[in-house]
This record gives sequence, C-alpha cells and structure tokens, in this order.
Amino acid sequence: MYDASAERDITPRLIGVVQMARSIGFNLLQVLFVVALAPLVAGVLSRLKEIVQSRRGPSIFQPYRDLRKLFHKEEVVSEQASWIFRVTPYVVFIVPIFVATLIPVLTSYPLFFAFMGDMLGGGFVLALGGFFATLAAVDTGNPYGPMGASRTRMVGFLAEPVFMIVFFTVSFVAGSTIPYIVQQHWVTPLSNFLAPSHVLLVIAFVMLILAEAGRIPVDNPTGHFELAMIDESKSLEYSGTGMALMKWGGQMKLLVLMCILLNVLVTPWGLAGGTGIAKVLLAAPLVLLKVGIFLLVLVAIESSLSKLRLFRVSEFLGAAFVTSVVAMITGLLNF
Amino acid sequence: MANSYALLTSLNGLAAGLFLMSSFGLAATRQMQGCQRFYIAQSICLVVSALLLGLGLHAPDLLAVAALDSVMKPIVIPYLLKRTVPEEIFRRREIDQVLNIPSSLLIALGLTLLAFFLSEYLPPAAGNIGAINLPIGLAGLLIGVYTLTVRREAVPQLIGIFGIENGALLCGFAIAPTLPLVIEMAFPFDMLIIALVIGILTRITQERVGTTEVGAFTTLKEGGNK
Amino acid sequence: MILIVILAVPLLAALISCLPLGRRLAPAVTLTSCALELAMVIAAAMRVAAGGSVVAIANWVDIDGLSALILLLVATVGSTAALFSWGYMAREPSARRLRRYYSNYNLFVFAMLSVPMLAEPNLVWTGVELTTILSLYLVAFENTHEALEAAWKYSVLTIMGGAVALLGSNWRREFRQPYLRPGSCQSS
Repeated sequence: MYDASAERDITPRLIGVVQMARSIGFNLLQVLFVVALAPLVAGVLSRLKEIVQSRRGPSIFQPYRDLRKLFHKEEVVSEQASWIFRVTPYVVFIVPIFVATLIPVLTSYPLFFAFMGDMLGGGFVLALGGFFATLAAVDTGNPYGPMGASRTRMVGFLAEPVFMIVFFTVSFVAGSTIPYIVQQHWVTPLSNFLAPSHVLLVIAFVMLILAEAGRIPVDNPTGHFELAMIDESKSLEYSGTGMALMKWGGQMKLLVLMCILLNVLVTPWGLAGGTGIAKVLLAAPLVLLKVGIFLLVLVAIESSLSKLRLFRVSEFLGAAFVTSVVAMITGLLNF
Repeated sequence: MANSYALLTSLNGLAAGLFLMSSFGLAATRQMQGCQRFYIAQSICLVVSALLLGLGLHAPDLLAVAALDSVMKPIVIPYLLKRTVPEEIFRRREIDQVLNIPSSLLIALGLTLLAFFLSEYLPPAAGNIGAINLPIGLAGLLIGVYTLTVRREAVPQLIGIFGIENGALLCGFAIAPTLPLVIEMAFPFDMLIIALVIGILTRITQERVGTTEVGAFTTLKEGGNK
Repeated sequence: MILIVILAVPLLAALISCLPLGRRLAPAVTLTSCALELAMVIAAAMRVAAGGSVVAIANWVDIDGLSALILLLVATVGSTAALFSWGYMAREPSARRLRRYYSNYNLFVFAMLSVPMLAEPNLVWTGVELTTILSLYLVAFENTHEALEAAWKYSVLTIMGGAVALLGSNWRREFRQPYLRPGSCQSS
C-alpha cells in the first residue's frame, strides 16, 4: 500500500538541510572575508600612518605582493630548531581562522559553528597561537628571540586580567557568553548603549587591542631594532613560507580583534539580519567601513603617543585593568 | 517621557563613570600638567551630571549651579592656579609620591569598592536618576583623600583637595537637589578663595624655601626640635 | 540686632587698621574693638541665660545657649590675644606689615564670631573654611621655614577636613531625626 505520509516527512528535512548548508556557507564566507581582507586592512593602516606623517607610503595592496613574494622564496631553518619551529607558522595562521568562525563578522544571528566556543574559548584559542609563537622564538639559537618572547609573555600576563574582567562583565550585562547573542543587547535600547559600563568596556578593550596586537604605545610595529622588539620578535627567524604565514596570521589576528570590538561592542549595527545571500554580501562593505573608521582612530592614537618604556607598560595595562573593573562595578552593582 | 528619563539616567551614569576615571587619573598621573587636566575633566563631568540631574528632576536650582560651576571650575580655578603658582612648578614631569603607580591604582580601586559598600548607609538619592552619584561621589572623595596623603608636592595636594570637594558635591547634588541657590553659590566661591590663598602660599614657600616638596618638611615634630 | 553689631565691629576695625596713619592707630583700634565686642557678647549671653534666645534674622542669624558659650570663649580669647600681641608686635620694624597683621587679625575674629551665629549648616561650613583661610596669613607671618611649614600643614589638614565635612553638611534635611542646628532656637 502506498504511504502518503512518508512523502510529507521529506520536505521539512529538506528545508532543514538547506538551512544548514546555507549556515555553513555563510560561516565559510565569513572566514574567507577575514583571510582575504586582513592584508588589505594592514596595508591601509600603514598607508594612513605614512600619510599622517606627510609621506607617501606604500600602496595599500603591498602586503599582498609581500606575501606572494615570500611564498615563492626558499625557506632556511636553523639546525637547532625542533618540530615546534616548523609547526608554529601553521598554528599562528589557523588560530585566527578558528576565532573568525565564532564571532559576528557579517551576520547578526548565530551561524553553524557559533556554539562551538564562546568568547572565553575564543580568547584561549588566540592565546594558543601566542603560546606557540613564544616557544618558537626560544627554539632557535638566536639571542634576541627569547628576549622578545619574555617581553611578550609579560605583556600577555598583564593583559590577561583585563581580558577576563571584560569578558565577565560583558557576559553578565548581556546575559550570555556567545558573541552573537551578546551583540543583541546593545542594539536596541539606546540607554543600554550609553550605559557607563559599556563605554568603559570599550576603552578597556581598545587598550587591550593596543597591547595584544603590538601597537604604539606598547610596541613599535615598524621598528627594526631587535633590542626593543616585543611582538615583532616572534617572526625574526622565519623565512619563505613560514614568514608569510606568520605575517598573515598576525594581520588576521588584528582584524579579528577589531571585528570583535566593532561588531560586538562599538557599532553592533549594520550586520545582515536576514538569510539572503545578497544581504550578507552587502554587510561586507559596511563592516569594512567600520573597520576603516576604527583604523583612523588607531592611526590618531599611534601618531600622538610615543612608545612607553618597558616598565611603564605595566602602568598602562594597570590603567586598563582599573578601567575594566570600574566598568564591572558600575554595570553590576545595583543599589 | 519614561524613555527620556531612562536615557538621562544612562547619560548620568556615563558622566559619573567618566568622573570616576578622572579621579583615578588624579591619583595615578605622573605629570603636574596631567594632574591639572584630570581635574578639569573631573569638573566637566560634575557639571554635566548636575545638568542632567537638573533636567531629570526638574530642579532649576541645579541648572543654575551647573552653569556657575561650568565657568568656575574648569576655567577660573586652573587659571588662578597658573597665575599664582610659579611657572617652573608646572613644568615638572615626575611628581614624587610615596607609592608607585600600579599600587596607587589598585588602592584607588579598593577605595572605590569600599565606597560602593559604604553608600548603603548614606541617605537615599532623590529619584532613580541620581542613584549612581552617591557611591561615585564618595569614591571620588576617598580617592582625593588618598591622593592628598600620598603626594609629596604642594600643587597635587591642592588638586587632591579640589577632588575631595568635587566628590562631595557630586553626592550632594543627588541627595539634596533643591538646596537654595544662595547656599549653593557659596561653594564655588569658597573654592576660588582657597585656590587663591594656597596658590600664594605656594609661591611664598617656593621663594623662601626653594622647593615645594612639602612632603619633605619634617622639622616640626611632636616633642620639639632636635 | 546686637548680633549684627557684634559682627560689624571687627569688620570696621579691620578696615580702619588698613589706613596708613602711623603705627599706633591699628593696635588701638583693635584693642577697642575687642573690648567692645567682649562687652556686647557678655550682654547677649546674659540675655540668653535669662531665658529665650536672641534673634537677628530668623533662621539665618540667631544664638542659643551653646552659641552664647562659644561666643564668650571666642571673644575672651580674642581680647587677651590682642592685648598680648600689642606687646610683641611693637617690635615689628615694618609699619606696613604691622597694619596688615592687625587688619587680618580683625578679619579672623570676625570669621570666628560668625560661625556660632549662623543657623544654616552649609553656611556654618563656609564660615569654618573662612576662618582657616583668614588665619593662614597670621600663621605664616614670620616667613621662616618653620612658619611656612606650619602654615602648609595647618591649611591642608583643615581644608581637607572641611572638604570631607562638605559631604555631611548636605544631609541634615534627609535624616528623619531632629538635628540641632548651631544657633537654632528649637530642634525641628
């Protein structure tokens, strides 16, 4: 006997499969966005800095050319290096890709991989990349590597409490730990956006980005003086493919941190709300616009401050810590 | 109407939060000019809070006080300090203090938490909009007391006193927004006179003793001189 | 009415002491004003002790028992100090500084007398701060290292205490318990 009910069951399952495929597709689109546009963002940043200093500066597509050149070059590896040295570039490249699947980059609703890890997980995954980079810097016989590595660790452990408290405050205030859901909290009522905890969290997070991405006032990203390097020291010994992957990974890390700041905290508007592919593609230039404006702010900060002496970095991060704790106090203590 | 009240409450909270950040800056900055700039920022946050409270609680006295303070505190008092205190003091870049900066920041944070717990015992604020002023005003007061104790230089101690006053005023705006105008006027003028007199005292000290490092003045002690 | 006169006399004396008319005018004026105040304060105190209070401007300037006691103390100490300073200020070489000292002294006595008389706690706070400021010149008069150090410590400590007291001076309306205002006739 022919069963008509079996036919009816297929349609919802088909719709479910299509939705899942679309969700995965958007997630992959998000990752592609981050991977492809990170060098462009780095190029625009360095060009803007040069323009502010009244120079012409390189083209904004120069990082792409650098990466292509490096991929064609031969790799020279020290005899003292172990497997950590060879594995690290791949780790540093993949880690921001993982985090990019967890955060809202183009859409404002959670995608397929969004519940794989929350903000705390994303932070730890980023720290994994930093951990491997530090170990690799110590791995070769270069004397400057461990010096820079120990400084990076110092900045890292001073920035850790700031990150924790920012994360906890955001989760308490917004009621969730998934970035997509957190982001909704600040979209609708304007009074939520102007709350004191929000503004202070933004300030603390910007200071955290300056520390984690190795920008002035913590570190000079364009310096060549090995004795003063903090974050640049991780790619001192690399050449060829390894160097390309380390550079690209660093640029992606900056873009991922900026996406977290902009799409979750500062301007949670402008992301695609619907499921059409056109809307998602339209969100890309809007996100780029937001990133561009933040780059202007970053250039202003970098051009007006000078690099702090090393022992003053603890004061800088202490100020960031205090800011985040005040944000926590004003956001959580109800009276 | 409820929407704008919520908005005013948030904005007031923002002003109070920035007030607290300026107090931290007062306690933790290394430069003389920085100290003064943080005081100006703190006064501007105080004026904005008074303005918002006046709008939210419909207290025109507070609006008049905000207008008066917006001229007195960020403009007149720093100008007076600049004129009465000798010029070379303001160029100092390293203020001497008893504890270093990260310790100062942590102690200031502890004082803020203490203020939040103590504010339970203060009289309640008039209306929900001013509820955050009480603990933050008290925190500003305690941080000002700490700044005063820890700094060894004359002018930062004076700015610490002004910080205490700002904190007490922030509390006062929330607790008693309908204080008669005549009485509210007395406070900024009093601060003006204090700035003038202590500025002149600092100038005389600089001329006579050669330094304004008042933390090093230890000749007057209990039990007489040696 | 008598309270206004008590306040006006040292003010007038301060003004007259400033006049550059020789070295003897300032101490003489100060001494007479102090004697006059002492007499008036004793009269007001006796009127208060006989029952009732003395009111000049209702709710702003009045005295009761406690205020009368403090006024008596202030007037007595002020008079004896003026008498004592007549002696050692005679050795001051500069006439200008002598006059400045006496006029400042009178202003200080005025501020001290006004504090117990005011009935509004915020104005009392203002009066106390005013006494600190007006006495700074007297403390630092000698212009030596120790004098300046003493002046600095005195001013910073007192003004800091005053600034913390500013917080408390706003609270009287809000507490339900009656608060005895200095100079108020009744507790309300």
